[in-house]
Amino acid sequence: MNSLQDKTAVVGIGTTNYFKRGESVPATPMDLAVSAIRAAAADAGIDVKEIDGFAMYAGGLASNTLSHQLGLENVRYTATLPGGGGGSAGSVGLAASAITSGLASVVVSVMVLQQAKYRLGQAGGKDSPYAIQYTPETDFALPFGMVSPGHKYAMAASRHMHLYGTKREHFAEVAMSTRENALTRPKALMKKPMTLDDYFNARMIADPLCLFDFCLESDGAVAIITTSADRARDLAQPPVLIHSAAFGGDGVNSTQIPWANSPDEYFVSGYSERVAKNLYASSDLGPSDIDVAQLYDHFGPMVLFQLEDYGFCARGESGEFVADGNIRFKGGSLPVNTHGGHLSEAYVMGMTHLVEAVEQLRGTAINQVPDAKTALVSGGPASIPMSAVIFRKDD
Amino acid sequence: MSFAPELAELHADQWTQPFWDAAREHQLVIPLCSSCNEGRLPATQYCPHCGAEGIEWIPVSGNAVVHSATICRQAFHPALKDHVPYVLATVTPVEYPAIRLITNIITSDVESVKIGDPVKVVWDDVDENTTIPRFSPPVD
Repeated sequence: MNSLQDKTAVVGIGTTNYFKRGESVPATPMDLAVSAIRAAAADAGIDVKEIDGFAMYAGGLASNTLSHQLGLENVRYTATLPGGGGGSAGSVGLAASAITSGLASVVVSVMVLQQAKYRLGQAGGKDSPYAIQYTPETDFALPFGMVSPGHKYAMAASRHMHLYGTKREHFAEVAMSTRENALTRPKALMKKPMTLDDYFNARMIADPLCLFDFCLESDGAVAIITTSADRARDLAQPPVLIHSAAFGGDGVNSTQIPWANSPDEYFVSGYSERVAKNLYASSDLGPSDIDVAQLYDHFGPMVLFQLEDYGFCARGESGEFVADGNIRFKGGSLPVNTHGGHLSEAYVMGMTHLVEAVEQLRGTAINQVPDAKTALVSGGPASIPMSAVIFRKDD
Repeated sequence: MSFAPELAELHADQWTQPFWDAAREHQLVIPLCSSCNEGRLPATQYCPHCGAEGIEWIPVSGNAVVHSATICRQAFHPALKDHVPYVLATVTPVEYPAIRLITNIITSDVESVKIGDPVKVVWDDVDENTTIPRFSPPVD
């Protein structure tokens, strides 16, 4: 049990429009980020100058430039989780820890992507913040053409199929159900319904993964403002309590070659079982208490493996679980990625999942799950830190 | 022709260099902790399992089994442009089933590679300093 349970709340969410990669130009990434933060402050009903902290991830944005452009007078907290999209949900946990410790009172988490000069999935781009970093360890992967995140997840998916009989039809169910959710969303980039034939006719990229198993490449910014639960009750929106948060992972399996050498049950997982255990251990809730889940979908099959990690079904049974319609918005026992996710709405490295969970618990989601009281949001299956948060509706 | 030689530039340190020195001699070697015998991949100063220093480099036959594989059909790096489709795989040396190497399965029939297939090391002499171990279905 940690001490942040229900003591803080998300009070403001703000997004820009979402764009196909590169199409947000001439706005700069900083323009987009500042717009999202101002929108989040307006949503919360606070003056943007009340922000006194930043809790970011994936290396973060320049807190000095942000502070200047927002006109902040008193910055008390600037912290950033390392890694990549694994830390998205964790950034809100970081905000909660800053507020419960008293180091800050109004903390913003923000992410912006503008893939005009680079593409995140292309290892060769020199301008990419994720350009290849050569190390003694990468000598055991790069010479073999293991250059894109999709390659790792393709091998995990291939092995999962081999061990458990998981089928491409199960991956298709993730892609199709997520697409269906995007159809009603004005900001979503993908608005065309997807059939099973569409899925199987898509080009293969890294077998067993096809085009529709890969996330979108998009531009956009999202900001989330967190403050104390007490303060939240006086603000413009119904408070969405941060019930539990965790970020980290299994140290011994945490980089690429150790992953390749990990036990099979880890090799085929979403790498998040440790995070899930820590998340539930500091919570009053278990998997059966979660009403809606927003699971990081950089690659569709990783939604299946996270369903197993977070205890929504047993290891190896996620294929059957989705085949039974469980993750559908309409009629599913656990609606997943009700906003269209990274696969069909937009890819802003996990932030849109947090926004959707907040809207579900406010009762204002476009694809509203009736009477949703709890939501689980995960950060990206990747290397340490991975993360998750459980939000709870205020009583 | 070497496979994507631009990606084969090595950046070894003192702990991984013995692997590449042995590869130069066309010998596949596996690093084990000299204290607890766990595989230590990548080779590092301290064993992540028991904390001991000391590595033993064990020569193995080069016979291995495919653990997982993907057919990479898109060139995500310019160096791969002339090499798609190619098979990226994890393989386990027959002597050490708990250890896996990331490698390629070199074959003219990429569709034929299956998990559980036996494979044999083949040596890709990229230049006078660098040799990369890849694997191939055994020749009958």
